[in-house]
Amino acid sequence: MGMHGPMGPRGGPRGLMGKKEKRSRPIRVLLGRMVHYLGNFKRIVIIGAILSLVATIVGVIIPLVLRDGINSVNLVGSFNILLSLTILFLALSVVSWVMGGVNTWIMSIAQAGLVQSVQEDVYKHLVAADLSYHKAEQAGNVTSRVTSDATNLSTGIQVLINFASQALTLGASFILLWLMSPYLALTSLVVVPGILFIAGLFGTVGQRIMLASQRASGEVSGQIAENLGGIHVAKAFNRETELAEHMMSLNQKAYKYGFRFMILMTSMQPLMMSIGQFAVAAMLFVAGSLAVGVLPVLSLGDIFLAVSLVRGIMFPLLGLSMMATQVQSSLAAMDRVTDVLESKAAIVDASGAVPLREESDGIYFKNVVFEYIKDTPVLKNVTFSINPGETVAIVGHTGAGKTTIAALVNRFYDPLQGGIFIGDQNIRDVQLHSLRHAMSLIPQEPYLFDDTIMENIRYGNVDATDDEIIELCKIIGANEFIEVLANGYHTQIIQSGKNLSAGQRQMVTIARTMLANPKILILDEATSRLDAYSESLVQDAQELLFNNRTTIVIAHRLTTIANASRVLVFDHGVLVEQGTHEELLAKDGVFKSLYETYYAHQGLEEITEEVAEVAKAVVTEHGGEKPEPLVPSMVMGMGSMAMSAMSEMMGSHENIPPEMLEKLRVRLENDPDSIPPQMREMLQKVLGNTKSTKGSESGAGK
Amino acid sequence: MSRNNGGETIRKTPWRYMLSGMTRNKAVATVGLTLTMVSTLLTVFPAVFIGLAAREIQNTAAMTAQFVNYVWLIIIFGLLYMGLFFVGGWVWATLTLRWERDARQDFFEALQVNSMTFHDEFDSKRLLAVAMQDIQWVRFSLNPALRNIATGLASFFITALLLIQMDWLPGLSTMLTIQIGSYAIPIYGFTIIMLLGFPIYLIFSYRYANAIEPVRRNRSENMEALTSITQGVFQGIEVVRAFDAEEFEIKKFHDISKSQESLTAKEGKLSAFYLPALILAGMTTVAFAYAGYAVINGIMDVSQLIIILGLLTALQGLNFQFPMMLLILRGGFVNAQRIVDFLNWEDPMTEPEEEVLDVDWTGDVVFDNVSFRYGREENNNPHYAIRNLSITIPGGSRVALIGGPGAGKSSLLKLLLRLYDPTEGEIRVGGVNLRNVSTKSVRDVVGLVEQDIFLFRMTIRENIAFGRSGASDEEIISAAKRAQADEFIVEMPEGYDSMIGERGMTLSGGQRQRLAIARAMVQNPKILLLDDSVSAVDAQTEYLMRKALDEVMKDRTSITVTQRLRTLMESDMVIILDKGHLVASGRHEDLLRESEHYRRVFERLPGAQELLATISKRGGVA
Ligand SMILES: Nc1ncnc2c1ncn2[C@@H]1O[C@H](COP(=O)(O)OP(=O)(O)OP(=O)(O)O)[C@@H](O)[C@H]1O
Ligand SMILES: Nc1ncnc2c1ncn2[C@@H]1O[C@H](COP(=O)(O)OP(=O)(O)OP(=O)(O)O)[C@@H](O)[C@H]1O
Ligand SMILES: [Mg+2]
Ligand SMILES: [Mg+2]
Repeated sequence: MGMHGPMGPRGGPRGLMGKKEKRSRPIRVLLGRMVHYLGNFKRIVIIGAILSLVATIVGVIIPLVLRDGINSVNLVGSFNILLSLTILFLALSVVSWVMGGVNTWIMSIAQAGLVQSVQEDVYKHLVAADLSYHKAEQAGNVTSRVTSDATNLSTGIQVLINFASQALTLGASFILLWLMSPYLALTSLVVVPGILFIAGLFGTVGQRIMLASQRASGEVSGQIAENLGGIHVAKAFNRETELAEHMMSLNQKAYKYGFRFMILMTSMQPLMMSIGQFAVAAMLFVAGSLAVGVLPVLSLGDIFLAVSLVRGIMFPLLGLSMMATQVQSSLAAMDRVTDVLESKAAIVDASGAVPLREESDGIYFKNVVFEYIKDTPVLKNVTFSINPGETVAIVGHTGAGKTTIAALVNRFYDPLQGGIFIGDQNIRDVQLHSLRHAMSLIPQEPYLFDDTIMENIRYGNVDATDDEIIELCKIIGANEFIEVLANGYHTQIIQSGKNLSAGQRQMVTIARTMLANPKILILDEATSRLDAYSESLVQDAQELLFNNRTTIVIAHRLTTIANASRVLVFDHGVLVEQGTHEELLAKDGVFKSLYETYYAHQGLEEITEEVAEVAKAVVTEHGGEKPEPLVPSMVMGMGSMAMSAMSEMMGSHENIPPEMLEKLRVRLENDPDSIPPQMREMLQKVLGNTKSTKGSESGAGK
Repeated sequence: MSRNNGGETIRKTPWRYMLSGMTRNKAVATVGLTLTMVSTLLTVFPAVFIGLAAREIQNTAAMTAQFVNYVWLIIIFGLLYMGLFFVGGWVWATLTLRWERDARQDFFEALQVNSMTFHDEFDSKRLLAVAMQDIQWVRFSLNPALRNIATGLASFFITALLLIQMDWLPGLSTMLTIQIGSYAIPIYGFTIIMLLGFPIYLIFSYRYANAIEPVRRNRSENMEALTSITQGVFQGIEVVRAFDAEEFEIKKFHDISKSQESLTAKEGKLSAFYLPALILAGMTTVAFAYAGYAVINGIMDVSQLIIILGLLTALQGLNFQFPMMLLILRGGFVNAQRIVDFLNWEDPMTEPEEEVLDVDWTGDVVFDNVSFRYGREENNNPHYAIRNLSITIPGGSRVALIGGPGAGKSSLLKLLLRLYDPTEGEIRVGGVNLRNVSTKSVRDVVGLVEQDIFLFRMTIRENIAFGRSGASDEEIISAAKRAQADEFIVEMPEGYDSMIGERGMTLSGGQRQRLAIARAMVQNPKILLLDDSVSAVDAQTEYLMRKALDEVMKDRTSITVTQRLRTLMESDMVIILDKGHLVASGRHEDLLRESEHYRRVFERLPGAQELLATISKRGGVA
């Protein structure tokens, strides 16, 4: 997927199956774990096992009854015996049916329960897992830990449960044959090589083809997901045909592998059946030879029985030999699940953690060092304090570490060194839930759940009534747009909000956070998608509702941080400046330059200044004679007001004040890229002219 | 379009859709079916040979050549079966897998062709599930389900024929008779068993499948919900944490997984008791008694009893496959229904029958009383994103669009790109109604940089080239330069060949926006629409970018959604929208004077206060 579409992570449910990872635990351990989970259903499993044993025994007896029937009518010709055998047969059939049914039924209960308990265990662990894990993994992959792995597990368990009954069938059939004649028993072994061949084929080539086929169809699925996510882009640029062609090639590849796999599976069945037939033929031959002669060992009924028992040998044998392959994917699943279950979250309540005290307020960073990846510190020895009730802005270039600070305050991560305090309580010693209860974060990327707008807002406070929510929305100016939506507050949000406008999504997240009514508020670019007017409404609301609460405002836009009493300026993870707006501007440091190049980008002052500077430069060069031809290309698109301001300046000041020239020179030296090339050229000329008079060193840019 | 199948798999009813896998190549399908039937024959007959061999032994009490022949026959039939079945399997595989491939391709292309209204209506996760799973299950319903059912029915049928044929053995027809008056009506035992038992078996199988299907569907729908909720939570895990809602989510998951558990158990219970198996056992019992009676009476010999029992026990094998296959077949219909519903979706957006080709794209853009609602007419969305908007944008002008959240700015741009058609009113460019221009032509000349940038999982080069097929390297680089993207691209280790996405680079917001602008630049649009596309780009870069854009867009119309004061002032025209209504439009200076609303918005813009101050110093607006 593109990096920003509202689509879920790509790969779909199969995304994961593509890569085959090595198992990291021995089979014994994994089997042990499976059995352990089954242990919770001991009673059911035992009952099931008994039932399945009985059903198996009955299944073996039934051909015996038929054999006796054949023999009795043939040799004895007794009507009564026939009748009782018939009834016995019917009774056994019914018993076997009921037993089998009940067994399947209760086993499915056990299995469903087992899947559920594994799922819930895994889910609990994942919800509590460290954020770094979630950041590194695609949500789709994480989800499949919960869904497909648990299901895979249950298949394996099914196979394991069947193990006993298959082994029993196999043993009983073999013994019966042996009792009739050891030759018969030995004959039945002709199926062994065939079965081994099939199992081998399936386990090696089959497995490989299956994986390749899954991977190919995973690619198709991933591509469809991506293309659907970017459908509006494809449409905007008329690229549907190319995408369809690309899809065709992936589809063709998936077909190719799918075909191979199916052919393999298709050859499996006739192979099996034929092996069965050959065994039947062999059995018939041997049984026939034993039934002839002066002293026949076998009766006709025995021949029938012997032939019937071939099935009792073959299918269990097949099942048992395939078991290894079938169980393998569940073992892999168990392995992945175990990874999750055994992983210890780093962020947990410390032993003896206490609730955050009511009076603890204000945020203190003390020599905080933090890194996401080893040895690449993102925050370097950061120390600052935010007093209770104070609103402080954090600014800095992209990647300066602003969002990281917000994450640390929420204790999504623990700092590597140093400590973070709320009041005088180190947040490491505070119960997580009381900490998070006390503060609210509006994350940089608005995230909405696929639920109604009302429920999304209520997420901030589950106890809030509808009226409270509506009231709040009115204050922040969200009510007007929510009300007019198709279903008002009950409008269902689809795909994280693709049916809302970008600003509306942000408004909903703001409402959600404000509803939480936290003691400490952290706004990470919370109003970046709002126009200045709506932003001011939100700010007013914030003023009204959260006056005098500790607040951190992170923003690129100057307007957003206007209300902050102090500003912290970060650069590459270092707190470089702090103070009030005025102090910082006076300091002429990073903030000043940020202010000029970045935060003021919405304003006019910079462009007018720049234009004025250049215009004056031009004036100097041309002696104020003919600025006209150059001006339009330089100030292309200027509003006429700016133009007039400029010409006024040009008119009134014939000469450029020397301090302005000096400023220009410095800028050209330090940050030539910030000046458009054409202007740069001109400036260079101008400065070249004045160089001698100023007496400064030459080489103001080349 | 690469649709190799001519939309062949797209049919209007679920049944026909399902069966199109068979019907689209009838000859091959017939061959496949025939092979399947014949190979079934080959599996039924060995039971007969066993009986015949037993008779040999009974009659001769020696290993005769005939006996050995029967043994050989079984082996030969086994071999034949193997060959035929394999060929049949091959045919089926080709037939159904090709169908699956083409159906998926067709489905995807159909989705792609559908307008944005469609994509707004449906969650793409669901579309993906249908494209992958549902189509696969429809294929399953043909192969293996239909194929196995055909096999099952064939073996049933052949067995029935063989048994019924026994009724005509001399003596058997008179063994049991019903005396009505002076007539003795013979009872054809096997015929009755088969003719009665067979339909009952089928009826009960059908009812079985019918009873389970809804539960099974419930379960898979519940599973879908579970997956989607889970994924939503993991995607938004930061939000969950921030609101300390872990317990809440765990509870929610507990509930839904518990209901999943009970649905699974319920399905297990229903499917555990396959009643038809009992019916088959009953048939076997009756046949056993009947044939045994005949043997005792000397009408049949024991070998025939062996044949009968052999045939009937072989049928028991059906009990394993038949119910599952029926379920798949039955479910396949539901899957087909879902697919067909999507395919039959009526698109409100239609291409003109006769397209106007010579449109002056640099002409005036006129919105004539345009109203727009998202969604289809029949959904009756009461909410207008744009309401009675009438405005004329002179050709070649630079327009700035402002308004609060949900004002309709993005919607207006999307209308110009003909991603949607207005619900009422019309949009004219150079005097031509956009509806009379094909979407393709419109999108060829109108370029949009969207608000939420979407980049594909491709290299940077490919992403930029996405703007126009066949863009040369020079064009790509010059577009990147114009968008001020070149500077950061060349600094990447792999430059233009850096992968974007998953394991590739992660780009900052500003970088993404610049790539998207480069992508639009490559297209060389006649009308350029920028939806808040420079919000994360710093002032200096933006300034350079605008200059470069202006060069390209000379005499062409561009519309920019913006929050920036400077852009407003530089524009030839400012349009203010509020909740879908046009509030005011005109030049910045005029608006300042005339529009209360604009003043209110303007005052809030950063830098405006200072500006207003200088203006008042100089005595009002020029
Ligand atoms: N989960 C993560 N794993 C590894 N590195 C990360 C992670 N999140 C952020 N970083 C890195 O940490 C640094 C600081 O990132 P952060 O998100 O705090 O920046 P920011 O100041 O919020 O930037 P922006 O203004 O773009 O939001 C960046 O270099 C970023 O690449
Ligand atoms: N796909 C959609 N389906 C249904 N309604 C939509 C859809 N997209 C937007 N809307 C609604 O249409 C209205 C106008 O939305 P639009 O995206 O045009 O706003 P906008 O002016 O671009 O706002 P923003 O500044 O927040 O981006 C909003 O009320 C929004 O909820
Ligand atoms: Mg950030
Ligand atoms: Mg928008």
